Amino acid sequence: MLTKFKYIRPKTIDEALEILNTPENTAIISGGTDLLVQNRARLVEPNTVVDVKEIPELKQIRETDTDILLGSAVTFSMIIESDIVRKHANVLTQAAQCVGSPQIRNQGTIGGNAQTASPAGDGLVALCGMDAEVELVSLSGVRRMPVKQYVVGPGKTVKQHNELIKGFIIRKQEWDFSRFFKVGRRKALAISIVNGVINLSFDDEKNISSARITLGAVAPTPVQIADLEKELIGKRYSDELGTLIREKVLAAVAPISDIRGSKEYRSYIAAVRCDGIIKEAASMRGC
Amino acid sequence: MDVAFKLNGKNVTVEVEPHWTLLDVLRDKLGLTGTKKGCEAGECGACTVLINNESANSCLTLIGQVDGKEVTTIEGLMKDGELDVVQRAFAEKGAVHCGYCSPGMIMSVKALLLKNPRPTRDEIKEAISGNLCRCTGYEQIIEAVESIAEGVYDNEECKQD
Amino acid sequence: MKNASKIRLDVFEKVTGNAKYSGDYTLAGMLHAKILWPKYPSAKILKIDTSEAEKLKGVEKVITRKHIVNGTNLSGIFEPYDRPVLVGENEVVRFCGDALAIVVAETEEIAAQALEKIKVEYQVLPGIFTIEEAIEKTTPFFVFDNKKGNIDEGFSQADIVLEEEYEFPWVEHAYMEPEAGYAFVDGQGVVNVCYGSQNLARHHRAICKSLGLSYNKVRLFSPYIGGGFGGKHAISVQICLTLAAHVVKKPVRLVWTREESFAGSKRHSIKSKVRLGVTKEGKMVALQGEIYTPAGPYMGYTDKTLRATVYEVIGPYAIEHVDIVGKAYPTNNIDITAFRGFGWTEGTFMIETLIEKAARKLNMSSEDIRKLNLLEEDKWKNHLPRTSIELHSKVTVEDTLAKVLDAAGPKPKPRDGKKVGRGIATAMVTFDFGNNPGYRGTGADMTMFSDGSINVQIGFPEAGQGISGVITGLLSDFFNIDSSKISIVHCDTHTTPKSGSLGSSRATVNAGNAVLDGAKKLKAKLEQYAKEYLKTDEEVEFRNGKFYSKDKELLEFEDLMDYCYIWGKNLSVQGWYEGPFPTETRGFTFISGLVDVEVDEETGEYEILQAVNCHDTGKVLYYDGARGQMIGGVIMGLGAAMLEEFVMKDGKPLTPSLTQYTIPTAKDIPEKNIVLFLEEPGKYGPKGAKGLGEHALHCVVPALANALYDATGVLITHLPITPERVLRALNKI
Repeated sequence: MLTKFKYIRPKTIDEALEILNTPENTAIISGGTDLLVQNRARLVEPNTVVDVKEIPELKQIRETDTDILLGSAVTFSMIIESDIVRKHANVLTQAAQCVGSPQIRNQGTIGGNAQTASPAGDGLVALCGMDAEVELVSLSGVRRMPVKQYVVGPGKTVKQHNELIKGFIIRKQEWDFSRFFKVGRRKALAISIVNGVINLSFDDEKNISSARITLGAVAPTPVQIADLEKELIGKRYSDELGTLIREKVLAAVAPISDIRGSKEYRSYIAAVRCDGIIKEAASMRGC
Repeated sequence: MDVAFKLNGKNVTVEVEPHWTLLDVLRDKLGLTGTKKGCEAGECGACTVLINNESANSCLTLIGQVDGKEVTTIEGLMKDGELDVVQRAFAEKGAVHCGYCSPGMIMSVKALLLKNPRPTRDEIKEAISGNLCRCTGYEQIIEAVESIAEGVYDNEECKQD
Repeated sequence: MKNASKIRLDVFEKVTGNAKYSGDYTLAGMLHAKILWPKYPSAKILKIDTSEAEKLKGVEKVITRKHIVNGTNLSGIFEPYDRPVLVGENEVVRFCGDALAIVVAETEEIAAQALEKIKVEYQVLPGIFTIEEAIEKTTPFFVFDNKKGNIDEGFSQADIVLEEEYEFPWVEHAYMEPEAGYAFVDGQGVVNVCYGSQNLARHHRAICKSLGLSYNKVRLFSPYIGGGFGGKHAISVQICLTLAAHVVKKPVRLVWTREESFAGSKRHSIKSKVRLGVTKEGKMVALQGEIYTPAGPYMGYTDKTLRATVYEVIGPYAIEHVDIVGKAYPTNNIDITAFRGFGWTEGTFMIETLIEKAARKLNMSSEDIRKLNLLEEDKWKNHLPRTSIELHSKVTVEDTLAKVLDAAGPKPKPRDGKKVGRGIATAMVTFDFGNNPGYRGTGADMTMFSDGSINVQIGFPEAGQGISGVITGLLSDFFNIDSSKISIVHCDTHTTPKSGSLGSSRATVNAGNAVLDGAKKLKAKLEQYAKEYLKTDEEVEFRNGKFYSKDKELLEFEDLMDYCYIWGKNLSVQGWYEGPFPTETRGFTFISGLVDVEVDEETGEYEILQAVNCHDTGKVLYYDGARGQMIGGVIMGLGAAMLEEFVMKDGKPLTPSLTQYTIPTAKDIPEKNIVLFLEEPGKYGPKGAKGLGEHALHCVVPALANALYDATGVLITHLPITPERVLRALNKI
C-alpha cells in the first residue's frame, strides 16, 4: 500500500521546475518502477509526486555529429528499439535488454535507473561505462557532469531537490568491441550480482590500443578499473595477460556479501568474466 | 482527482485518490477483478495490462499516469462473444492450470503478437519472462503461443454457441 | 464456442478474467481486515493498547485475544492444537506469524493506518533460530526412527562406506495467489467464510474449537484457488476472518500481501548426515542417518514431513540394516506445513546421491548399481507404511528407468570447453488410495436435472490440478453427454460431502472413484425408472445415452426425463469411495528421472540440456492436466534445486518476497522438459489411474546433482545448487 500523496503531471520542463522549486516534499516519478516499490517500503514518503514522463523533450533520443542525447524519461524499451543507440552506444542497448522484464522495460526509464543509483543498476553501469554525462536543470540553471561524479553512493546522487534530470549525453562510441555483461541469479527479473562494461579497441598489430572497463555491484558505486585499463594498452591477449586481468580486477573491487552472493563470489566472478570477455574480444580479432 | 482514459475501448472518467495504483482502481473501483494482485512489486506479472498496447505492471502504475492513454485488460479481449485467439489457444493447449497468472500472461502475449505475429520460441520466452507461473512449468503456455505463430488459428473464427 | 466441450469449464472462465478467486469478491458494505503481526519472534506481550486505533475514523473494531471468549484460542491442523489464534496480554509470541490483533475498517488503507496506532509493549525473550542452537538448548518435540536389522553388523559387511552431509533450506510455495478471503454472517446467523482451502474438514474443526462456535454455524467454502502445493493446508487467514465476521457481524475481506504470505508457512528444512555401507559387488548393506529439522514453534506438519523423510531415505532399495533417526526441534522461525511431495524429494535426494557415490567408487554404472539393489516385488509389502501392493500394476521401477534412458538418447557431447554430465534417479513413492485415517471416504453427490444435465458436489477444490477436468471427463464418457452439461460445486462444508484433503496425490483416485460410483448409481436409477415407464419386467440397460432391452432401443432419453419430472422421480445419488482395504490406504507408484547438464567450471554456471521423467501413472484420464502437472512439477523441483532458498535471520525473513526469493521464469526452464507416462492400469483406480500430482519433483533434483557430479567430479549436497556453490565445491573460491 502506498502512502497518501498528490499527483501532478507538468507538461513542460519549466512547469516541472517551478513545482520542484517549492518547499513541498516532492518526488519525481518517471517510470515509477522504483519509486512505488520504495514508497511501499516506506523508504520514500513524498507529499507530491511529479510525473515527468509526458514531457516531450524528456522522451527524445537524438543525435548530433558527436553525441547521442537521451532524455531522462526514455524507457528501456525505447532504448532497445533505437537504431541510434544500437549503433553508437551499443552497451546501453545490451544493458537495456538485461533489465527486469518486458513490463519493467516498457515503464522504467534511464533517468529513473540513474537516480535510484543502485550500484547494480544495469542502465547506470552502462552509462558509466561509456563515460556518459548527465544534465541536471533547475530554475537556477543547468549543471552537467559525468554520471560517475553524479552518483556518490548506494542510493545517493548529487541531484538537488529542486533539480530535474534533463537527460544524458553519450559520446558516440567507436570501440572495436563493446560488451555489457550481467551475472544474475536467474535469466529475467534479476538484480545484478555483478555487471559491467568492457570496451576495447585494437591496433593493426592486434594489440589492445585502448580500453574502458567498468564494473557494477562490486563497490558502492560503479567503478572504473583504471589500473587494468592501463595494463592492457599495447598488449595482446595471452594466458599471462589473463592472470593479470584477474589480479587487477580482484584488487579493484570491494563487494559486499548479501543473499544473492558472497563477496568472494562477486570478486571471483567479476575477475573471471572480465578475463573471459577480453579473451573473446581478442579471438574475434584473430588475436 | 479525476482521471480520464480509454478502458477496453470505452472512454471512462474515474474519481480517484492520486496515490492509488491502476491495479487497485481496476479491481476495487471498476470491479474488473480479472487483473490480479500477486506481489505489488513488479516481480510476478499477475497484474499485467496493456497501456497504449504495451505491457505494463499495473501494480507499479499510478492511476494518474494513464490519463489520456488506452488501457486494455483481460476483460477487454473478447469481441462480440468470441474469445480472442490468445485466449482460445491458452484454453485449448492446456496452458491454464490454476489460472491466476493467466490474465497477465495472456496480456503479455497479446503485446508480443501485436508487434510480432510470428514469434520464435525464444521471443515467446522473452515476452513472458516477466510473468511468473508456478503451475505449468511454462511449456504449455509456450506451445499455445507457438501454435498461433505457426498459423493454426489463422483462418478460424471463434464464435460462442 | 467452437470446441467448447473440449475446454474445461473453469478454463473458459480463467482466460476471460471471469473466474473469481477468494480476494475478488465484493459484498455491499464490506469491511476490510488487517492483522497486527509482532515486532519480535520471541517475546512476552505485556500490554496491547488499542484505544488510539479504535478512535480512528472508519475503524469498525479492533479485535484482540479478549474477544475469544468461548473457544480455546488454540488451533492447528492436527490435534493436539498448539497454535494460538491471537496472542494476548501476558501471553507469548513464538514466531513472527503469531497474530496479535485484527483491525476491521471501512477501507484497507484505514485498517493499515489503525495497525500503526496499536501500542504493544514487549518483553523480548531469547529465541532459538538455528538447528545448532536448538540441538544445544532444547529437546526435540518429535523423534522418529526407522530401524531394521543390526546397523553395526551391516557396516561390518560393507567393503566401502560413503558418507555425506545434506542441507535443504526452507522452500516457499510461491503460488501466484496470496492467501485471501471474505466472510459474512447470513440470515441464519451462519458465518460464511470463503477462502482457498486444501483441508476443509480440518480447518472447520480448528476454527470451531478455537473460537467456540458450533460447526453448523460456520460454513467454509472455496472458490477457484490460485495454487496450493500444500501451502493452503496451513492456518493462514481463515480463523482471523471467521472471528472478524463473527464479531462485527458485517461482511469482511482479508487479503494477505505477498510478504504476509511469505511469512506464513514453509516446506521443512533439513540438515542431515547419512552413511551408506556397500559391498564391493555393489550391494547396499547398511544405511545410517541422522536427520535434523528446525521446525516452527508449533507442530504443524512437522511430524509428518519428518516421518516421510525418514522413510524415503531408503528409496526403492533392499537394504538389510537400517538405522535412520529424525529429530524435529521447535524454533522461533517459521511454521512448517505440507508441500508437494514433502519428505520424498529430500529422502530420494539423499539415497540417490549416495548410491551414485558408491557407483563411482566401485566403477559401476549408475543403472547397474540401482538394478542390483532394487527391492523385489514380494518385498514391497512392508516397505512403506499402510501401503498395499494389491493396488499396483505390473510396472516396475526399472520399466520407468528404461523408458527414460530410451527417450534421453545418447549423452550429449561437450562443446566450447564446457563439461557435460548425465545423472539419473529413481523413486518409489505412494499416493493416497482410499484416504488416510481421518480422511477416510470421499463422497460425490450427483443430481441429474430434467434436461439430462448433471451437477456434481465434491469436497475437493479446483486449485489448478485439474480435478474438474477429470470429473467432467469421466461423466461425459459415462453418460455420453457433452462436458458443457456437467457442472461442479466444489469444496463447501455445508453442501459437499466429506472428502480427503487436497493432497497426497489422492484427488484423481478418490474423487474419480466416488464420481464413478455415483454415476453407476444414477444409471441404476435411470434404468429402474425406464422399466417403470415402460411397464416392463425386462432388464433395461442405459448405454450411450439411450435405453436398450436386449439391443433393442426402447426409449428416448427426453421422454424418460419428462416422466421423471412429472412424477417427481428422485435423480439424486451419492457416490462413495472408501478404498478396498481397511488399513492399507496407499498404493505404490514409481518415477525415474534423468538430467543432462552442461557446466562451465570457470563460472560455476550450468545449463540443463534436458530433463526426462517417466511416471508410472496407471491411466492418464486427462492428458493435458497430467502432462501439465508433471512438467510443472519438474520446474518446481528445479526451482528448489537451482534457485530457491528461503533465508531467515533471528526469526525474520531475509527473503521476504518474490524479489529476493527467485523462482524460475520462462527463461530459466531447461531446453527440453520431457515427461513420459507408463500406462499400465492399476487395480481399483478410476479406469486404473494412479495419483501423480506430487511426484514430478522427486527425481529431477537428485538427477541434477548426479549430473553435475558426473560432469565435474564433485557432488553438491547443499541446495540450491547455485554457481557459487559449484565454485566452492571445485575450490575455485
